Order: sequence, then structure tokens, then C-alpha cells
Amino acid sequence: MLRIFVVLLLLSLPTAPLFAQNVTLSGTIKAKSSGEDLIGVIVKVKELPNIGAASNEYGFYSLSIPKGSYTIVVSGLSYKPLEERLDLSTSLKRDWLLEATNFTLNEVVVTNRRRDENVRKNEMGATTLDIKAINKLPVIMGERDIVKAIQLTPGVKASGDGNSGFYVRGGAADQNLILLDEAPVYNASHLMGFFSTFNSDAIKDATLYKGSMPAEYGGRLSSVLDVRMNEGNNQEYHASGGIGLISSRLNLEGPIQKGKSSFLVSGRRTYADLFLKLSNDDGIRNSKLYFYDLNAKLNYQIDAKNKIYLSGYFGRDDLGYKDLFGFRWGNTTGTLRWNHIASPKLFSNTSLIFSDFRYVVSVTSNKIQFDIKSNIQDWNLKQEFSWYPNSQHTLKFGFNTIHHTIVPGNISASGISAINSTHVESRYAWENAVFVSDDWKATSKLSINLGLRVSSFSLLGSGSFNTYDSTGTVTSTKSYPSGAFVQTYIVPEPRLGLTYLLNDVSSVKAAYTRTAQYLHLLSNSNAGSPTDLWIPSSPNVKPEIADQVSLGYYRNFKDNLYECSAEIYYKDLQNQIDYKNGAVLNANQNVEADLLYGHGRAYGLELFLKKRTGRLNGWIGYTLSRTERQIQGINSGNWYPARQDQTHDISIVGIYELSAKWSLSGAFVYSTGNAVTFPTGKYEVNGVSYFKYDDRNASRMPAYHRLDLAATYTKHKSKNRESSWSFSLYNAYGHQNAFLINFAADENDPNKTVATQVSLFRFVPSITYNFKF
Amino acid sequence: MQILKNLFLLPGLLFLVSCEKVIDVNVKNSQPTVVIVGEVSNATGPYQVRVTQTVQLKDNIPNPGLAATVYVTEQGGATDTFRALGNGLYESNSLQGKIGHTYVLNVLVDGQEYQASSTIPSPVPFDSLSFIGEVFFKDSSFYPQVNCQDPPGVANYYRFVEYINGKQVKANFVRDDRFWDGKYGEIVLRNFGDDDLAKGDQVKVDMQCLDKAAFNYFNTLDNAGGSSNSAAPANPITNISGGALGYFSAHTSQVRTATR
Repeated sequence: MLRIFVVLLLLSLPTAPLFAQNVTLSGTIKAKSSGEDLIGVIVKVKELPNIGAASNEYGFYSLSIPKGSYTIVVSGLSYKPLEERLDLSTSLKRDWLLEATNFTLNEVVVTNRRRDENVRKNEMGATTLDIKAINKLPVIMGERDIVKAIQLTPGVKASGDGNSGFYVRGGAADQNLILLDEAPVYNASHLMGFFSTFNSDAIKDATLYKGSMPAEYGGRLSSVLDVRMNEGNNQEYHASGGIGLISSRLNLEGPIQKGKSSFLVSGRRTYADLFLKLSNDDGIRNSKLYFYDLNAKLNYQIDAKNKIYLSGYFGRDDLGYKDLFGFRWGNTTGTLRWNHIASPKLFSNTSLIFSDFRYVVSVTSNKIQFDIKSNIQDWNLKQEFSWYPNSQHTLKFGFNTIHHTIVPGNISASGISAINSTHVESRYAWENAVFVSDDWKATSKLSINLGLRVSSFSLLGSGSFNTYDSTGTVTSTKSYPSGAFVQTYIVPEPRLGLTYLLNDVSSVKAAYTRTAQYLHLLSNSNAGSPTDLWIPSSPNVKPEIADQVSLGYYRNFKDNLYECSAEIYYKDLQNQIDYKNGAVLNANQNVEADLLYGHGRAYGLELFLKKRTGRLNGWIGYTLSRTERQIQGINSGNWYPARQDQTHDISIVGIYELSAKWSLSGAFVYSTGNAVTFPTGKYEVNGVSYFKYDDRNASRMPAYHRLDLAATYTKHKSKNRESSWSFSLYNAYGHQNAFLINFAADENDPNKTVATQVSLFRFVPSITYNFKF
Repeated sequence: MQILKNLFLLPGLLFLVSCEKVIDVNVKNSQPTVVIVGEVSNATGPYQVRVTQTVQLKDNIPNPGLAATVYVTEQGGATDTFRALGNGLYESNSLQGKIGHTYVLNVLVDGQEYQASSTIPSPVPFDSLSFIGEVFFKDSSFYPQVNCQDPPGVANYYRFVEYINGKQVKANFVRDDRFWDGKYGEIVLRNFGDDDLAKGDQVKVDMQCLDKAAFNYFNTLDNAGGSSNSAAPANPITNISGGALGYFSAHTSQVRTATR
């Protein structure tokens, strides 16, 4: 398999330059008003209808064409197209500044970036959401959230009511690689998951890859959510923000040197805890419950060929009860990035990336005094080249090297504590990958994307490492000095994508993707918690590997006003992890002894219909799917549905521009209930009634459905000033969705068993005032 | 880590508007399973073993007793065949549990054999029983507190059976010394149920030292408590082989009483 890939890759390498006298048109494309790099802008040659290029993540484009004189058309969605006659007798560097079609940046654009991108682009199972697209969608508690918007697309499922965790195509929650300016965010949620870490003010856009993952990404099985921060306006100063019921935001940006460098600072804080101060109860008054986060970015255009960016994120959640208990957690990320245009055909991006997630639990009383501290920290160097040898090929290649440090939750007792400190060893690992991919326009109808990523993972010393038999008994122990290689895994990950244009408005696509994952999240709660434990692959824990094949049909109607698609996929998952009953995950040196391993499979059909523009726009998504596991030691080794298995999932999103001032929106979701384990019988032990369980996940929660409504009133609008009021109602018809179901003896008749459903959110209204000047 | 678990629910209590309602759930029926509950201790006998079978959720409890042959063998010693008291209850004749000895339980039901073994560990002295008042938000509650010195360097497993005015409390109290090995234990029997202590209540606590397998049963027993909130509701880990539910515990027994 691997050999075939390498041969195909070599065969596809560009040969065209040998036969034609080509010149290269290259440069960067930016927004005129802000100087922000524009991604996915199309540069076309009017005289050569089959030739075009799209700007990359940093606004760079490169186009190789035969010598001549041409009309070049540059067009991006919601920007005025530019047209210019250029004499290309020699290679030319030409930058473009595009002007927005109207001056409201808060425009509803449920992208794609190009009107027919979904049909033409050689990419499957990818969803790009422009931040502007989500601003008019209904929200919970007044916070716009790009993750919540992504949950409304086919194949993506929320991990709970109001929760910002998600499952993609039947994968587990830890199988999503969540990147903020290339830095992995290990715990992308605030306040027990009700908010994501992404402050929409600071975000430019987000792309979710759930099908064919490009070769430059790896390290997680199911998906990549690639979130990009705004760069900051390098033309003029702007401030924007919002004041809501439980949180407020402020965003400042502007030039440092006009046209050359800019900054962006964006912060938000919740203040639900201020209401606690109103309580006359001493315990509540002295409780803490808030989060804040800060995004900052600087960029500097050194010269025409070099640009550097420095971006960072810092967020913390803090909750506590009096002086007795404190629980703080959060992420820190930093990215230093250097864009270099090495030649008109070669673009280089070098990034040095830092990421850290940590939590601290502290308990203080007169008898017990301890802290539990844990963190996971990455240092990451990524080098990526984009090479545009001719108009048929775009090659990407590079490498990625990451050093991981994982400090598990250790108890450190202090003073006269009634408990002991624990010592579970830290773990170190070195993860590497090299990748190459070629986006090859083989014919005017057929595009082929060939990619290969080879990843490796080395567990490093120091420390002592046990191996276990199937009962969890230690069979051997070996100690390693600092930096020694304990275990190395190498996984080749081929990626293949094919797009065949049937005609101007329809295409079929097929893809095969292999992904590998070396870090695994162990969680002993359903909803996920900051205290969940990351463990590296080890002699006992093998890397998780997924192979996915997918096939899709794409069709646009009415001059790309409507787009629709149907995709089917099948995914095979190896080395999936589960736990033994009663597994101890925290502060346990032998946590691997409590793990079980097995197989997974997921398959499904995703249908999507979108009306792209007009006074009424929006989409309908439907997913029919199944995801199952087979793990030795669970359900006698038979296949059983994973918790996130859902047969049906429907989401309907509509946005209606009522007038120049008012816009209305609504979102409806329906999904089959999660697979759960309900009791099947009961018995008494010492006078107390207990329940008997048979197969895991053999029952279903009730179906989940909900309608959210929102209205946005734009009060004042001019070239530079704007303010708006957003009104939202979450769960507008107040359906009591089951969060959990408890079984217990009836209070009046202990012989009877009653099931009680607990629901969380009904009729949650919110008002937010947003401003911008 | 129980403290962590409870405090983690705190924000939920603070800002969620949750509501509850009784619903009809489609529950699958299951085959009856044998349930064996047996204890031997260093306290004076007789000891009892109860053999019952599970019922459907809609059926009444107590679940019915089963006719069985029950005997306990002291390893390297005599075998005591228990006599039937009716309704699935069986009682020892001459058996006397001793510290450091291992006991093997055999139960025969309908030709199917179930077996378990358990060892009475060395006792940890039960120094005293006291009370502690705690305020959590607005509610102040009194709980019994067990005081004992955990021996260092060995794993110890404890179970506490609490009685208020002679009535057994339904909560399941178990502790191991994983986080406080060798420390002085002040173990608060916090019970968030409705067994609040009033002034003058008489409290009796039976402190039991168990072996690891018996501890594992009680430590995972709450997974079968009926909440779908725990990661994987499941049957507790039994030390009985042959496919039965329940446990066989050979343990020490020390009783203290106190009046609040």
C-alpha cells in the first residue's frame, strides 16, 4: 500500500515545465480596509478558463502560465472582484487589495469562500465557518460560539445539552485536534463545558476536517478543527465588544506602523459570580465561579518577502468555595510564525508553537491541606513549504516535531495534613512527522490529492515502566534514564482524495484517510472534566489508528444559490481504549492496568442542503450513522454501540433579514438519544435495593430536540460605527431534554421502581449589546 | 477523591436551572441471576449467608430466596454446612472466624456451583466514635466520625456499618488508605440522605477491616445505585465465581456506640 503511494506521488510530480515557457504570477492578497490576509481568494485568468489559484492561509498565491498578455480576475466572497490587464512576458509579483462589498463586517456569510467551492474543491468532509457567519445564530447565555455553530453541521454531535464538546463521525471527544493558530488546545472548554475557549471577537475563521484530513495535519483520529485568529487591522484603530448578562468582551486592534504591522488584543470575562455576592449566605457569597480569556496577536511585515506573527492565548477558569476548596484550570498557547516567500513559486511557513493545559485543585481545612496539580505541555516546531511548480500542481511538504511533557495529577500535602503526598511519574514523549502532498489537477475534470504523512512517537525516560498481563498484574518493570527511548511507534498515514467534475454544477469525490493518535484522554465522567487524564502511548497502550473511506456527490442549483451534497463514510478504528469496571484514573501509577483495548467502527450517511444567500438563507443537515465498539471484557466481546452513537440527527438553521435593522434566526436540532446502560433487574443487599445490569449501552435516552430563536437589531450603522442588540431564546418551546435518568425505589411504594429524568436548560433567554467603532 | 466528585457538582448547583420529572422508560427484561450475600467475622457466630435471585424492575422486593446447599470451609480446617432458616437465609453451626484465616464459601443452586474465598485481615484498633458538625451552604449537619490509627506500610481496607437508634443506615461507607497510609484517620461518615442526626440519637458503628477483593465489591457497589450519571453503570465487582451477584466477606468486627 505504502509503496504504491510513493510511486503515485513520484509519478504525479510536475513535468510540464519542460515543455512550456512559463511565467509565474505571485503575491499576497489582503483586505483593503484592515490589511488582514485573505484566505481562499481565487485568482483566475480570463483567457484560460481552466487555470486558477486560491490564496493560502496567509494570503499568498502563485500561478504559473505560458507567457502572454492576460486579463486577471481576483475574486473573493463578500469582496468586490478586481480585474486587470497584465503583460506577463516575465514573472511578476503582484499584490492585491480587495474592498469589501459592503462595510458591515458582521455580515452573514455561511461560507464557502468560492460560490462553487463545494463542488470544485478537491476536499471532502470539510466545513469552513466564517466567524461572521455565526454572529446572527441563536446562542446560549449570550455567548457566540464557533464550536456551537459547527455542532449544527452534519456528522458533528454535541457532547451534551449546551456543551461545547463534540464528537465527529462517531469518534470520541479526545479524537479531535483543536488548533488555535496551529497550537493544540487540550481542553477547549470553560465552565464545565458550557462555553468554548474561542472568543469570537478574536477569531477569523475555523475549518473542521472530518473526512479527508490534509497530510499536514495529524495526531488525532477523527477530525481537525483549525481555528485562525484575526491579525489585527494595520490601517486604522478599532474597538469592538459586547456586554451580556453573564459576560462581557472587549477587542482592540490597530496599526503599530500603518500598513506594516498591527496588533490585536481581545479579552472577555464572565461575571455570573457577581450575583453570588448578593446572597446572604456566607458560603455562597464567598464562592468563586468565573472564567476569563485573553487573545493577543502581533504581526510585522519585515519586507515584501518576510512576515512574522506572534500570537497567544491565555484562559483560566476559577471556582471555589470559601477558603476550603479551589479549582483552577486553563490553557496557554503561543505561536511564533515566520512566513517567507522564498521564490514566486515557493512559500515557506515556520512555526514555533507552545501549548500548556493545567489544573490545580486545592483543599484547605484544619485537618486536610493539599494541592493536586497536573499539566500537559508541548513544544512544537513545524515547517511547511508550499510549492507551486505549475498550474497543475500544488505541493505541500514539511515536518513537525513535538516534545510532550505530561504531569499527572499528583497530590502534594502540606502542613499537618491527614493525607499523604502521592508521586506518579511524569511522562515525556517526542512526536515527529514528515509529510508531503500534491494537489494535482490531472485533467480539467479530475483532481487528485495524493498525500503521505509518516508519524512517529517515542516515549522517553526517565521513569520506570511496567508491562501488564490481561488481569492487570505487573509482569515486568524496567527503569530508563532521562531521555532514553522506552518505546517507539512509526505509522505511515497515506491520504488520497479524488474529485471528478461531472459538469459545471456537480461532482463526485472519494477519499481515503489514515490517521494515528498517540495521546489518549481517560475520563471517568460522561460530560468530560478538566481533571481527565492524558496518557501517552506506551509499551501497553498502542497508538490508535483509523482508516476512513468516504464517497460523496455534490450538486449546486440555480447559479450556486443552493448547494447540496451527500456523503457516505466508513471508518475502522484500531486500539480503542476503555476501562475496567471500578478503574481508578486519578493519582494512580498503574492506571494502565485498568485499561481495556479493542476495535471500533463507524459508518454513516450525511445529507446537506444549503441556501447560500438571499433574505432567507440557511441550511438543513441530516445524518444517519452508527458507531460501535468491540472490546475484550465488555459485553462478552460482542459489538456494542458507543455512547455517542446516534441513529438520526437533523439540524435546520434559518436566517431571515426582516429589514435593514432586524434580522431573525432560528435553529432546530433533533437527534436520537445516546446509548446508555439502564438496569434490567433489581435485588436487595443488606436491606438496600440495588440494580442489576446486563449489556453495556443497550438502552437509549429519549430523543433530544430543541428550537433556538434569535433576533438582532442593528441600531446604528455607518462606515465606522455600529451597534446592535442580540436577543436569544435557547430551547424556545422548553422541551425537557433528558440530561440524565435516575432509577430509584418509589418513595411511597418501595416495591416500585421509578425512573426520574433530570433536564438542564429550558427557556434560557439572553440579551447582548454589541458595539464597534 | 469523593470530596472532589462532590465539589465538582457545585457549579451545577449554583447556576443551572434543572428540573426533574418521572418518566416511563422502556426497560428490557432479563434472566434472573443468583445473588449471594455472605459474611464471616472474628465476632462470635453464628454467621449468615443469603441466597436469592434478581427480579424484574417492575416486580416487588425483597427478591425471593432460593433453595441451596451452603457450606464454608476454613482453609486447612473444618467445613460447616449451613442450615436453612427459610426464605433463602442460611446460618452457620459451629464456625468461628479467626484473624488471619481464610474462608471458602461454596453455594450450590440447581446443580450450579458458586465459590468465593476471603481472608480476615489484622484489625486496626477502633479508638473512638465521635461527632462532627459541618456547615455546607446553609445546612448544618452532624455526622459520626471514626477515629483510628492507620498502620503504615500496608494497604488497609475499611467498611463501616452505621446504625441510628438500632436501624441500619442505607449508605455504603468504605475507605482504603491509598491517600492516607500511616496517618491518623478521622473518617467522617457523611451521609447526604435523610438520616440526619438529632440530639440524643444513639449511633452504633461496626468498623470492619476487609481484604481487597471484598473491599472492591463495596467500593463499586454504588455503580449499581441507579444513576445514569456515573460513567458506566455496572454490576459491582464480585469475589464470587460462577456468575452470581453479591459478595462473601470475611472481616474483623469492632463496635462502638455514642450518643449525640
